Amino acid sequence: MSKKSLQLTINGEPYELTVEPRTTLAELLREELHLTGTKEGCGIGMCGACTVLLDGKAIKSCLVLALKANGKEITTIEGLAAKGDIHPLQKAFIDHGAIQCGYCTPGMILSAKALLDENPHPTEEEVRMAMAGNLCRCTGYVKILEAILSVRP
Amino acid sequence: MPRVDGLDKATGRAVYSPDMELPHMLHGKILTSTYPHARILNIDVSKAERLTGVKAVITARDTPDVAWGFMIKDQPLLARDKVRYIGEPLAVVAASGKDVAEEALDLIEVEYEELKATFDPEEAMKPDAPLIHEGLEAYTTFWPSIRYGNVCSHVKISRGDVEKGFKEAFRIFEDRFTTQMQHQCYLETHASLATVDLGGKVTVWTSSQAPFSIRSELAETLRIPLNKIRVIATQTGGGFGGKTDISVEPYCVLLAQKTNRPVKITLSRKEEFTISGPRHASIIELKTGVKRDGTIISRQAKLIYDTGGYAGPGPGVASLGSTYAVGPYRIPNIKVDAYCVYTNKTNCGWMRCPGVVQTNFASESQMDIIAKDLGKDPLDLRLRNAVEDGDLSPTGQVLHNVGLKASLQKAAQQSGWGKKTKEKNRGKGISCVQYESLGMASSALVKVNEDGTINLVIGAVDIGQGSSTILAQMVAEELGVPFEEISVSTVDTEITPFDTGTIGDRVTYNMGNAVRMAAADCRQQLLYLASSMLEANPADLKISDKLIHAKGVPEKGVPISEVSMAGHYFKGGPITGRGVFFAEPPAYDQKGVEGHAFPSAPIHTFAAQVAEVEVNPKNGKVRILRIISAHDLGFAINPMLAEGQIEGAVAMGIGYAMTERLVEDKGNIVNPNFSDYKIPNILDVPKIEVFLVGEKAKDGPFGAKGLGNPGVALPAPAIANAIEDAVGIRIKDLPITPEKVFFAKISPDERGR
Repeated sequence: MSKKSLQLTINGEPYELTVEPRTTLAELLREELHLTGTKEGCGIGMCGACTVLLDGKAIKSCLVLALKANGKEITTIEGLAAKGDIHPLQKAFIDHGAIQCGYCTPGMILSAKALLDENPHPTEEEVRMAMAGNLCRCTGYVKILEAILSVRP
Repeated sequence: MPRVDGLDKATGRAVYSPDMELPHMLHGKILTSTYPHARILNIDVSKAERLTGVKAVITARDTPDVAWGFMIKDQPLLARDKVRYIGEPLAVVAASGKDVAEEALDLIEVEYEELKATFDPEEAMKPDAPLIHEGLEAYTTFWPSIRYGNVCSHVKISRGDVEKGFKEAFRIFEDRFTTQMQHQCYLETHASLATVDLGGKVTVWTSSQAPFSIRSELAETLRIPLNKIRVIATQTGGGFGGKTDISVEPYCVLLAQKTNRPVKITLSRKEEFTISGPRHASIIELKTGVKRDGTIISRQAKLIYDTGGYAGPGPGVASLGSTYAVGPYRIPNIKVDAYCVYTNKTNCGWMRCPGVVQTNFASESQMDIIAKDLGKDPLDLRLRNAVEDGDLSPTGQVLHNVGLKASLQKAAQQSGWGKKTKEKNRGKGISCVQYESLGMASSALVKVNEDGTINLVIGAVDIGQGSSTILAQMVAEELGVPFEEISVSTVDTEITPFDTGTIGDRVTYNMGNAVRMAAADCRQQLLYLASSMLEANPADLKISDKLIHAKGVPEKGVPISEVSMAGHYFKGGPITGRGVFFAEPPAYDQKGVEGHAFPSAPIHTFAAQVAEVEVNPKNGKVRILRIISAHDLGFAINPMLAEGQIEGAVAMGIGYAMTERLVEDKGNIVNPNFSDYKIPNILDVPKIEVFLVGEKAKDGPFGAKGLGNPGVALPAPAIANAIEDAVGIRIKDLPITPEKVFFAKISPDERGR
C-alpha cells in the first residue's frame, strides 16, 4: 500500500512524515521515530502502557492510526521533562515508590497528567476512575494513587 | 530512599528488550503447533523460504538434537518427533520485517498424525492414559526424582504415623480444593535481540530474571561454550518467575547464526499467554485430624499439579508445594504425596510463591472449616498450632527466626479482629503462610575508584523489586560513604560475577551477604592503605562520611578519595573488594523425604493477612473492602520498597482469588488477551495496609530476609474465609467468581445476617 503524508507535532517539534496507512501511532512513535518511552503491552488498548497525549487527551496509541494524528499535537513521556526539570508527577512517582519495573510508568504518568490538566483537584475516586485503563502488575496501585494525589496543588 | 533507576524509568529513558535495535536487524517469528498431541510427519518450509524478505527458516532438523529442561531434560527447542501442546514451537523464521516473517509462518506446511490427547491430570495419571513422554524414565534429571507414566515427578514427605493420628483425632476433616492456571502478566512481553560475531561469539540482550541461567541454557541447547556467550540484561519489565529460563533467546541466536545478522523476537501478548509458562493448575486434597481443643495431630495431603506438555520447573513447584501443604503449623503426623503430571496443555512455569499459593488456599481454607466446626476463633486455632523457633519444618529442618505469631497478631490487631461487623453481608477472614528464601550462589565486586566513588558490580538483575537500590544501601552502610556515591552495574555475564538469579526471594539474603562481604573487603584494604598514611594500626581506624580516621578522632582523617588515588597510582594498587556467598542447604530428615528437589532452605519467611469483604447475595458479587497484611521479613533495608513489593503481591493475589483464570478448552487457550483474562486494575484493589514485623534474622545481611513471594499466597484464602464469615458459603474452587458465589445457594438465614 502506498505511503501517505502526515504532519504532526510531537513534544513541541513539527514532523513531516510519510507512513503506511495501517501504521499505528504506537508503531510510528516506537519503531520509526525511536521514541521508545512509549511502551506496548497488549496491542489491543487494554493495558494503557502505550498511553500518550493527543491534543492534551490521554489516548492509547496502539488503537489510533498514525494518520489520525494528522495536524495534531502529541506529547510522549520524552516530552514531559523536555525543558530540563522533570514534571511534578514524575518526581512524585519516584519519591512515593510508585515505580517498580517501570514498564507501565510512562503511560501512568501521562494518564495522570491528562486528568490533572482537566481536573486539578480530583477526589480519590476520580483518580481511580481516570486511571482504570492503565494496568500495573508490580505495585498494587497503592503508591501510584498516593503519588497522583500528592500532586494536587 | 527512592530507587536508583527511578529517574530513567519516570522519563522513558530506561531501555527494555522490546526497545532494542541494531543496524541491519532482522525480525523473528515462531510457528507453533495447532494440535495438542500429534506426531510430526513432515514440515515443508520451501514456500516460506522463497518468500521475498525471508532470510532463514529453522526447524528441529537444523538444531542440535538436545533435550533441555530446568529439572528434567525432556524438551527440544523446536518440536522434533511430536508435539505435546498447542503452542509448542515448531519452526522459526527471520525476515526483513515483522509482517514478512508473519506471512512466512502461513507458508510453512506441517503434516501431523493426530494422537489421543489427555487434558485432565487425574485422567492422565490412570494406567490406560495416552503416554505423553514415552522416554520419561530415560531422561536426565538434576535430583533423584521418582517418575512413571505421565507423572513426571512424585514427591513424598512422611513423618510420624498419620493413621495413628487419625485414630486419636476427635474430628477428621476431608476437603478437596481446585485452583486454576494464572499467568504472570508482566506488562513487558518476552523480547530478545541476538547477534553473532565472525568468531562465533554470541551476544544476547534480553529481559530476564536470571541472565546466568539464560547463558547456561543457551550453552546447553546450542552447544556453545559459556565463554562464547554474552548475555546482557536490559531493564526487565516484570518477571514474577516467568522470565527465569530461556524463552525466545535460543531462537534469536539460531537465526542470527544462520543469517549472520542481528535478530530480534518480541512476543505478542497472545503468544505470551500461549507459549510461556503460567502458574500450575492444581487439585489439593487434605485430610486433617484434630483434637477437641483444636490441636492438629495428623495431616494427609494429595497434591496434583498439572504441568502441561513438558515438566519445566513443575517438579520444583510440586516440591515446594509438598513442604508447605501442612501450612505453617506444628503437626506431628504428616504424609504428603505431590504429583507433577504431564497433560497436553500449555507448559506451566515458575510463578511467584510457586506450588505454595495452591496449597495455602486449601490449607488456610480448611483451617476455617475446622475452626467453625469446633466453634473456635480462626485466629486462636492458628495461634495454637503455629510453628515457633526450634520447631521442625515438614522435611525435618529446624526453623529459626519464625515471625508467624507476630504476623498473625499484628494483622489481627490492626483489623479489629474479634469485633463482629454489624453490617449485613460483611465479613472478615484471616490467613497466614510460611515460605522460604532460596539459597545457591551469589558473588559481587565492589570497586573503589580513584576519586573515592564506588562501583557495585553484580550479576543479579533488578526486575523492579528494587534490589539495586537496597544493595547500594548496604554498600554505603558497610563502607561509610553516602548512598549517592554508589553506582550499580547492569548485568553482563561476560563482566559481572556469577549470581544464580532473581528468583525465590533470594537476592536480598544471598546477594546482600555477598555485597556486604565485598564492601567489607574494600574497607579492610582501605584501612590498610590508610594506616601507613596516618601512621596508625588498621585495627584502630574506621571510615565515616568518606573519611578514614582513627576511632574517636574524626577531625584528623584522610579522605577515601586520597587513599584510593594513592592506591591506584603510587602504592598498594587499586581497591577491589570481592564477596561470595553460598548458603549450604541446612540439614533435614532424609528418611522422611523422597523425590524432593528443594528439601531445605537457608531461611524462612512468614506473613499473615486479614481481608474484609462485602457480598451482594442478589448477584454473588464480592467487594473487597480492606486488606491488612503483616510480614516478617527480618529487617527492612528500605521500608518503602518493601511495602511496594507486598502491595504488588497482594494485588496479584486478589487477581488469583477473584478474576484471573487462563481458560483452556481441549488444549486451546481461549482467553489469551487482557480483555478476556482480567488482571486487577486500580478499581479492583482496595486499600492495602502493610505492616512489617519480626526480628532481625540471623545470617541475613543487616538482619534482612526475602519478601517478594509470600504476599501472593494470602488473599485467596483470606477472602474465601471472609466470604464464609459474611454469608456462610464456602468456595473451594478458584477463582471466586460471582456465579460461584451466587450458585452456592446462600441460605435465607445468611442473607439476613
